[in-house]
Amino acid sequence: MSDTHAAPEAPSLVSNELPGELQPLPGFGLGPVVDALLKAPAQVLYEIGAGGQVAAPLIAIIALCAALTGLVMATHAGGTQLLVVPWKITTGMLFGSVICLPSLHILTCLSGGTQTLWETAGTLLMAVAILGILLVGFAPVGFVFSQATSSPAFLGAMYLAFLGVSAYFATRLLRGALERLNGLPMAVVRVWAVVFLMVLCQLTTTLRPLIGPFEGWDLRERRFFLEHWSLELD
Amino acid sequence: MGAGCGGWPGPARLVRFGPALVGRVQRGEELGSIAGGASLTLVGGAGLYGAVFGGWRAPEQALIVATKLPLVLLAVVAVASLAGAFLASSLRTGLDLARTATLLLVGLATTSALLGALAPVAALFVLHAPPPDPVALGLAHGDPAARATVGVHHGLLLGHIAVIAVCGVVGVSRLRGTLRAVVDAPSQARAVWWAWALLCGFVGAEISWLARPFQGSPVLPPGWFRSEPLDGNFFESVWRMLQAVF
Repeated sequence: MSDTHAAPEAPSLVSNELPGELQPLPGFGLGPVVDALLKAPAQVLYEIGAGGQVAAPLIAIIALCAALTGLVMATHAGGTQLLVVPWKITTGMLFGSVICLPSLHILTCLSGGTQTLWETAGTLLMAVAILGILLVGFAPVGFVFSQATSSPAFLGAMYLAFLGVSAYFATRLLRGALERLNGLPMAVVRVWAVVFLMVLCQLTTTLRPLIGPFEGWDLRERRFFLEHWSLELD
Repeated sequence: MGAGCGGWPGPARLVRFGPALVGRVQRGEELGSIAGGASLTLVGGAGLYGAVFGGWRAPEQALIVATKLPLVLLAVVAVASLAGAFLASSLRTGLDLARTATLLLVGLATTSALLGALAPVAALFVLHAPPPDPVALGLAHGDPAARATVGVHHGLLLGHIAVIAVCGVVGVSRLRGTLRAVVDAPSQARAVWWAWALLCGFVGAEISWLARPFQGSPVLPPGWFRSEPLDGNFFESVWRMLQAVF
């Protein structure tokens, strides 16, 4: 007697959060790469596996988005900050990504990942690029509040909220990309995302002032970001 | 990153510890090269994190701890391996001294690889903490003039302890997975893992106690050891602290 009932499928721990087919990108310009990141990131992942050609547009997208976000943040203070803050945000995002790359690679390897260091770096670039694109999406909201609000603490909290929301989607994309590469659950990416967010928060404190007026090129008094926020709120 | 099957495995291959390495341990083949790769990973990772750990106090403390932290971990393997092999043998796992030492080394290499990978992040926080106040040198820990800098010292030390503890737990968990793959019976693998984890915890606590200071207090000059490193042990000290609290 044949068993007509199919065995129930075990629930998969691998998320299916990387839309699109693994196929080549239609082009390597900024437009097609941004479009693919938003609609079919699997195409960008395919190009990462195929070689390094997609790295340059991804880095350009990160730099451009970070500079635009910085420009909007600087409109509150104006003057020299319009030049300084875009540079600081761009440098901070790229520097933060570089120092967090080793921990991402080792943690994913510990979870059974077999991707190369370049593939880890490529997926991280994808995630930081989507983080930048989302921050640019929030920029008009930020601009309106920058013009209408006098409290740097309020603006700082608002931009941190934008960062948190963007980082959530960036983490989801990173996890999806690494799971697609390995065919394994990569929940460890959530743990790593906490480290990455802490690094970005510390960099916003290190590179301050980002919202207030320009106070020279020297880094200000060394301070842990939670202490800085507490002092600002006081 | 060491994609091949033979030779000295690199950090990424060691932390994955795939079927090829498991097979080599089961057959007892080329254990020396696995141990060599694990030792290099351990020295590199723990050395890098050690430099960050001691870096807040002074550059010479960074150099001292970059040397001392890998030596402490290697000493744990050296001291615990014999007892670990006897325990493994008593539990009928078939693991001899060479395989025991290799597996313990791989566990601590995993911890070190993660420590090394987190070193740039830790360095960011260390470099942006207020530096030690030179005025505090020679004062008592409780002196009001040293309170602020001692507070920073304690805050950073707690952060380092948390990072090392998490990396240690990850290393021990990886050891459990490796033992499950290497030892045939799951119950024996679980038993020997518990035995080794307790043994390494016991030995590691004492050796790191003897090797203190790591970060270096701002009220004391940088150095390799305390003035009386063999005065007491870790567990006596914990007992005295508990007596003082209760």
